[in-house]
Amino acid sequence: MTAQARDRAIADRLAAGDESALREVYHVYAGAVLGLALRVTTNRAIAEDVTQDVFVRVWEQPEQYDPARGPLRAYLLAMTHSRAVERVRSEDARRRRQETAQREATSAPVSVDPQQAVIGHDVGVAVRDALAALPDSQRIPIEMAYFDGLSYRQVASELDEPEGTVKYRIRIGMQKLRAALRAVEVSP
Amino acid sequence: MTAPLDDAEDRAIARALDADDAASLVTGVGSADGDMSATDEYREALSYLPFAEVEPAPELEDRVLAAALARRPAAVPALERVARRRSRARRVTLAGTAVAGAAVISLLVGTADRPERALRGRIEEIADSVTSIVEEPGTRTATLTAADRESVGTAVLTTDGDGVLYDLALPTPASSQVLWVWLVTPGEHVRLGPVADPDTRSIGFTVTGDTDAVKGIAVSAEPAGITPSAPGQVVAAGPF
Repeated sequence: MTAQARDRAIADRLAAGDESALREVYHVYAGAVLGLALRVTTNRAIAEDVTQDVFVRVWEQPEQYDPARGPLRAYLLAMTHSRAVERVRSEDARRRRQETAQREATSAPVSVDPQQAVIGHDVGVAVRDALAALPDSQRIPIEMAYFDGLSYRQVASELDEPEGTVKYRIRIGMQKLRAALRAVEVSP
Repeated sequence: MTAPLDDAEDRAIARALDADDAASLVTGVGSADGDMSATDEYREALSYLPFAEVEPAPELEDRVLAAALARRPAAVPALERVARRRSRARRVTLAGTAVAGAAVISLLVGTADRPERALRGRIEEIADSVTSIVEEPGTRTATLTAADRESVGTAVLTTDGDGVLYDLALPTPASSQVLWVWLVTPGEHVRLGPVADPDTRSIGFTVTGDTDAVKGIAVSAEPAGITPSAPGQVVAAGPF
């Protein structure tokens, strides 16, 4: 069974209200969802709230996920990222983030080695290789925008670069990542 | 002042990054199919960026599931939840009795020096307890029989939808197979879920909706690794 067929099957079961499907999705993806939420928010409590929001949403509105538009993992992580960024951008979350960043950094969560997290996944390896091959001038702005939830303007300010330059570098870097993704997906 | 986002490519990237620059886009302009297709690909690429997965606390799963099911009740409840909920609640109900009994049986089975007679007596004691509840008005029972016509368990369903399979002695599936439990309703079989342990003595379940529509119960052996949409090889069944 292909990955897309598996995602479609689980989507059908979610739509049918099959609770065991929700459990399966949680067991497979909760670690990634919580990990990304924590990476963006740097706050465990907020990250758990985001994780809850994501799984409640996928259960409540399963029709929102279309397997033809990409893997379930990508859908869940896009939702996770979006919600985590929303939280980071709220003034309250920003304050808590500052207060707890040090504490979270010293109480390392149980985690897997990020280098190992995607091993065995051809697409993941290809994208990670492409990311590693990017010059710092492209890679760093992408990571700042994605993991830190910063706007182009904020990235530009942090890097002390013109906003147009940052936008151009992000564009070039992102196009390379997309090309790596497409190269794997179209290969036999 | 935010720099202008020039074209569909920039809009797709900004959307994938959740860059708040995307908010400055004119609604509708960026929602063309081509834009969204590119956004999906950028989002997928970003999902592979390296970050550490984090093991959630066990309590988080309970919290997430409770919140989800409160918003949208399950049409097909998971057996695991039903059994665990009843075990925790320690209710002296039909299902509670059987689940608690199953725990005792497991303990007896796991103790090598327990005499066989004690185990047998305990099973009969549980059956007696269930029998008194079965006599409540509206409660229905079904005897599960295997292909050789031997009884391999009993199913009970109350009028409020509480159900339990007890005294189970299910056939052992092949190593490449998993047993699944089904409700038999007119025109279709409703999947209840897989049997995690073929040696289990009891399984609780809940039926929402019209319990009268449930005409029987069946157990099938299915290839491991798939979620069947209909029973394949039925190994035991019985009518209510």
